[in-house]
Amino acid sequence: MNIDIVQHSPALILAVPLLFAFLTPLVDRISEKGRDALFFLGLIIMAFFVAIMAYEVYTVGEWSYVFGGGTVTPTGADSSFFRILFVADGVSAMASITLTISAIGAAIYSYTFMKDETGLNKFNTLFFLMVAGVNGMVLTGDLFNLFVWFEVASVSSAALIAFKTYEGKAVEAALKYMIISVIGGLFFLLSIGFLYGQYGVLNYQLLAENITGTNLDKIALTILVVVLALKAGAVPLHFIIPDAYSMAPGSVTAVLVVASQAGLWVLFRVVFTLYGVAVNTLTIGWIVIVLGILSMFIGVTMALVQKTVKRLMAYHAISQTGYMLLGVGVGLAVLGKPEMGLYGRTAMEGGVFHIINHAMYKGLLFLTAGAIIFKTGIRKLDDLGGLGHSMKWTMGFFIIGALAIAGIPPFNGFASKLMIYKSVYRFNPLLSIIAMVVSILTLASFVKVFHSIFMGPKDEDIYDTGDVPKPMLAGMTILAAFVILFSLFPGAVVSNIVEPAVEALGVI
Amino acid sequence: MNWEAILMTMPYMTVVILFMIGLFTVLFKKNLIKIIMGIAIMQNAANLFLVSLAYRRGEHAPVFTSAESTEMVMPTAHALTLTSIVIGLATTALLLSFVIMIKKHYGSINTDDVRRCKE
Amino acid sequence: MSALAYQLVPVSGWNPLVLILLALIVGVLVYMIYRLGNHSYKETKYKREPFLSGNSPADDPDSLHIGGSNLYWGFTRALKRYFEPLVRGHTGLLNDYLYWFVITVVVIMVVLYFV
Repeated sequence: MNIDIVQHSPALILAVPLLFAFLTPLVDRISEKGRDALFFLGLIIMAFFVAIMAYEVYTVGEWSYVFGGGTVTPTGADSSFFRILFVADGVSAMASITLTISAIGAAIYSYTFMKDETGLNKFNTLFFLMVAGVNGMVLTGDLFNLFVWFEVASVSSAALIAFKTYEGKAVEAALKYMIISVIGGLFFLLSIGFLYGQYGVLNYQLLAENITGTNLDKIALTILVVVLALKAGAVPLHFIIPDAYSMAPGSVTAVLVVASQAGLWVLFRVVFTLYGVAVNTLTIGWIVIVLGILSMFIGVTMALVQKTVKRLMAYHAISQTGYMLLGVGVGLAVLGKPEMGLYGRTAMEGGVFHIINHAMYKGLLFLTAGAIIFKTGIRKLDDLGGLGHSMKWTMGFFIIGALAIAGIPPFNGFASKLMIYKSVYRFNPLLSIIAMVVSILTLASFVKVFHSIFMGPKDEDIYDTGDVPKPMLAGMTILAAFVILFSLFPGAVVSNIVEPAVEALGVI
Repeated sequence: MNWEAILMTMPYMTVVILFMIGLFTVLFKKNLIKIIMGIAIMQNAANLFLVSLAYRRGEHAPVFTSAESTEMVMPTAHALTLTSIVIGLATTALLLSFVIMIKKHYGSINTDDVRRCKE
Repeated sequence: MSALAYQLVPVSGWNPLVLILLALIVGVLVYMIYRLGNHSYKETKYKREPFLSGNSPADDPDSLHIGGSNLYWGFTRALKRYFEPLVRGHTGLLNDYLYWFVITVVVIMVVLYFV
């Protein structure tokens, strides 16, 4: 049998989590150790296929994968554009790599974090389904398939947020998340209807060739941009993000960050690949830039008045999403003009590099917050204090994450933020100055959190010798290792991972 | 009055009316069950929109084996609608189970009371 | 890739390896200054207790550690006119979340149509 695994790897990346998701309850009836082993086995097999696909994309080039066998034939009676296509290019590779690293770190962490809960086989199933949904969103090349994976990801995310059903607030946050996601999906379906009714095709490549800038196209573009910004958590659609992130269990939040970023990837694909220069990119670019600036500023100022650890970090996630929107918005505003070669491309690279940086250090920060809640059972900042005496490793990881998010050299947050500052300054100096002020306020906010939790004398109420168990430390170590790796070699990461993604978006 | 134009765009007007009814219910009603009903109405509107996009004048539905002519409507949009109906079923089931748990924890299903994660 | 982009990617001056080397050199200097310190210091029980301007910490153990929402009190109080409407706008009502969604769709549609 001659099966070309490399060519089939996009489908295998999705098939493995789906298979293991529905195999887990069966294995759980036989033995519990088998269920835990299956959890890691499934993620490692998926990581293997992601590595194969990424290697092929970075050495040979991008390709489209047709479901149902055969090669991609554009025209003719049995044209493959009536079937579902998956696209394996720089964007898919980068997003899958981000998701795999986050998922493996969170899975090792949740081995001890969720030990006291019952119903763990459902947790593993939902986790695999969420990973499959997020992978599907970035791998697909067809708009309706995107809607299907969008709904799969939002259903499994909402069920995971409500996992601790004995707490009422978790169920409330999950209900709100589900209602908002479903309504967003319905608007998305409307815009798919607009595009289908005009052009009769729904995959990215054919639609990009045929699209013109009619009024219906503009309405569809508006709805698509706002729904995907809702998924990503941009202001003024950010209200669901703090509730959902703070009520989810610790390891789930680290993967929810990547799930929200999948909305950002799809937004970039829609605006650059699908529409491109068919609409006035200066207007769309400025809309994305204004969304980014609002997110940055309102996110960080709301974070300064929070009293709970995870809610504060969730507002910072909103603020960092603003950086990504700002960088890519500047690249969009100069699309097709000669300034693109000057600073537009670097702005886009900065924004896209910030996505993978943010997933790494934000995941690390959420895992440390989960460790603190696991050890002490307290969520509020007012009651915590003096934990630096006992939780030394957690404090070290928190310092790495906090310095990275604030943009302090030599960490990776600084590398991507520097690219954004320097190129956005040449576009409009005011935007760059606002970005720098937000960075300083981020640092201030994390100094507050660090002092509240770790500094101070030993509090006899909550002091307990020792740190969190080893598997949780191992999960945090994986993410911290990637933060340090990206900090030491940012140039190599940008030229090997970020540039293929920016070129795959259609930006030359 | 151009009766033919009104007749040909009747499905789309129905879609708009249904979607607006659903949207107003979700925006202005405070009872969680009514909000979920509004979502179900919006789902029906979106499905109707997809099906009515596929119609071409003079073509038949693709369900016959020995039809009078082979001019048939292309069923891509119908396949999309079936997928969307099934997705709507799954999401409505999950939403209703969440409302049951909220009633158990909070004692009321009014959105004014289900607000403990504030700020 | 254009020439300017090569300069913006951190390969010179902002190179992280150079900065880590600098940090190590400064660390060695700090250690040498530390070694010049007082060798006759013996740690007794009273030297490690926190000092509260002459007040004994046993009187009021809660005031030992200022943390949480008490930090940055001055900053938030001074910008009260900005923070009060902002925090009040985050109501927690589900209907408000959807109002913002619909308003954003309408505003962006109007902007895209007329500009």
